[in-house]
Amino acid sequence: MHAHAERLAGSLVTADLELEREFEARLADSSRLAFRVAFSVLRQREDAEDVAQEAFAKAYRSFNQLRDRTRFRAWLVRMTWRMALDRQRANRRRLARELPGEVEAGFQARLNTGLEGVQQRETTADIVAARERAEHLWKAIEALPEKLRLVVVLAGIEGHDLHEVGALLDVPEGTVKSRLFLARKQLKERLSWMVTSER
Amino acid sequence: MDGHKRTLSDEMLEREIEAALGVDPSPEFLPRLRARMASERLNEGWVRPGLWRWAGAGVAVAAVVISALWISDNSVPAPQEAHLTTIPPVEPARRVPEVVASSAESPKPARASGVRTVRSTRRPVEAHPEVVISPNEAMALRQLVAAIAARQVEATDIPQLAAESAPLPPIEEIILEPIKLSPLDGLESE
Repeated sequence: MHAHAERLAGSLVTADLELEREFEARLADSSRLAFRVAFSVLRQREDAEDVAQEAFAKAYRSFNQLRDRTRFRAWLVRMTWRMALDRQRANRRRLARELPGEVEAGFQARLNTGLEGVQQRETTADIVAARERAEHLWKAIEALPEKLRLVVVLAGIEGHDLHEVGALLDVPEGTVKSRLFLARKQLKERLSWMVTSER
Repeated sequence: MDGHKRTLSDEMLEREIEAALGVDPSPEFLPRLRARMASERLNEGWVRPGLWRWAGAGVAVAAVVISALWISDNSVPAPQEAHLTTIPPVEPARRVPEVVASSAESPKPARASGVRTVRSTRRPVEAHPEVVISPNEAMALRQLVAAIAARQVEATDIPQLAAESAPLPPIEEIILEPIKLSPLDGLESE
């Protein structure tokens, strides 16, 4: 009886160690993806890191209940997206309560941090122009319906192709294609001024 | 700027989006994430639904067994208790209800030798509820019961003795004097 209990405990420990190793591999593989998904909603590095961290903590607690571990990335993306939207709503409520000056300061900070992905430009004029373009791009992305928005974001992160985006969203490749087409169409309409001004 | 609208190409749009989303987390992000996972590991560890299910089933079985025992204990009288009610009095002192004094000074009743002890399956608190009275009253009550048991005092004489020992004072009628109010002459003139 005692030996049996020891064997059972030993097998549990071994299973835990295997799970730990597997989770560590997933963490190294998907941490940037989670961060970028959160960043696409929040556009603030600190908030995005917080949300990604929370999403990983949540994923860790339920990792051993995930039957198909190959679906981890998709699971994490959906969880991070939801949590980022929740955080965004909370931030907006908080900003609305604050003074108008602080709201403006917060908006400016968000504007600045939202441009961190834009490549370094040589001149100040270029930087200003890039900021303006990025801000309009973010506004256009935010204006998209949620389903289209998520497809655009995932397709724009880490060079995901249609198949990978479909796997992340658990939808057929054809659905991704049509959503991406609709999203791009709407974005082009909203951002047509960029081409006009470049001429 | 000629005002002529052209459509944004897919490549250009993709480039813009990728540039906007190509943000990397800070270098501290991954170590912080690992530290958080370590704290999660210490606090909660892996949740095992199978183990919880077994633990829940064990608790449920234990609750059912305990409640079944409890019900059977309360509904069926113990045979020893039933026997106790039919036992003829072995000794008069045995029938004295147990009286517990409020302080430790009161002497405990000595148990007579050779008295059969009948154990009850019930808890003693339920069988003999504790009565708390002053030590003097407890002593007097014991002496009275002992005197009755020794036939020094007849139980039928107790009400008469009580009436004789403490006669009540006669009831006197209470007379209330009517209250007289004098007029406030001096105040009215002001």
